[in-house]
Amino acid sequence: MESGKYTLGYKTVLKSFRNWKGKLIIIAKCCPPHRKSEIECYSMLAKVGVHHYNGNNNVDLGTSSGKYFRVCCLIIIHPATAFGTVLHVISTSVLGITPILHDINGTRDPRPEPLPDPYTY
Amino acid sequence: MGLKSERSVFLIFKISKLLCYSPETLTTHTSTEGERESEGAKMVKFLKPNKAVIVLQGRYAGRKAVIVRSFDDGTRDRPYGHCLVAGIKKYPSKVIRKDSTKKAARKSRVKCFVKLVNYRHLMPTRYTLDVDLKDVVSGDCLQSKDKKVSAARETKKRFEERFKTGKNKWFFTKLRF
Repeated sequence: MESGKYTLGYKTVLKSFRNWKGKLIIIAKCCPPHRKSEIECYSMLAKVGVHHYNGNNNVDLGTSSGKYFRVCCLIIIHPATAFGTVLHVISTSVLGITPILHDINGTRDPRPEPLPDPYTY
Repeated sequence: MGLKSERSVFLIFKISKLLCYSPETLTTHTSTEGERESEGAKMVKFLKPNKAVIVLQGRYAGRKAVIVRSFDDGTRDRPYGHCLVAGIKKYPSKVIRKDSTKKAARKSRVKCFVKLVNYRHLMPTRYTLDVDLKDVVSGDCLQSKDKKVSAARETKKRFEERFKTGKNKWFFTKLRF
C-alpha cells in the first residue's frame, strides 16, 4: 500500500490516515453515516480534502475505479499520475457520467473513453 | 447543464488548489517521481504529543487520554504505530455548591492510567491538553509495576491541578455513550 497510488476501502483509508499518507478522500453517497462522519473527522484533523462522489451508490464508485466490487471510500495517495483520472472521476461525476478510474500504474492516456451510461439501457 | 458545467469547473479549481496544482498543468503534467513527492498538500500529522484522544478498546474503552509520546513506525516489540498515553481511569465527580470543602476535595480526585495503545484503538479529537508529562511518563515507566504506579500517581497530581484551575473542562468530563 505504501508504494501504491490509491487504495480502496474503509480500513485502508484509516490506515493511510495513521501513516500520514494521502491527498484526497472520495466517499460514496451510500456510505453509512457513522463511517462517513468518522472519515470526515479524521480528514478535518489531517487537513485532507473529502469529495462526495456523485454516483448513486458504492457499486458506481467501484465501477468508476475499474473494479468489479463495491467501493465505499477510497483515498488517493499520490495524485501525480492519478490526477488526470481523479479529475476525470470528479468532473464526470458532477456532470452525471460514470467514467472508469483508469489503471493508475499504467502509462496510457489519462482520459479513457467513458463507459456507456448504464442508466440508458 | 450550464450551471452544472460551471460547478464542475469550480470543483476542478477547488481540488487543484487543494492539491496545489495550477489549472494549466492538468492534462500535460509529466513530473518526475521526486517532484511528485514534494508537490501537493501534505497530510497534517494529528497523532502528536498533547493531543486528546479517546481510547476505543480494552479496559479503558471510552476513556479520554492525552498522547505523551507517539511511535509512528513502531518499535521492535510493537511493530505498528502506537503511542504512550496518560488517561483518566476515574473521572472527577460533579461538585455542587452545597458540598463542604472536604467533600469537594474528595469529589475532585482523578484516577489515572498510563498505557501504550495502538493507533487503531484510539479516536483522535480536536482537543489538546498541554500538561507537561514528558518527564513523568517516560519510555521506561511501563517496565516495572512500581515505576508504572509512580508515573500514574504523578500524572494524577498534574491532572488534578489542571482540573482545579477549571481549564480543559471537556477532558475531565465523562464521555457519555
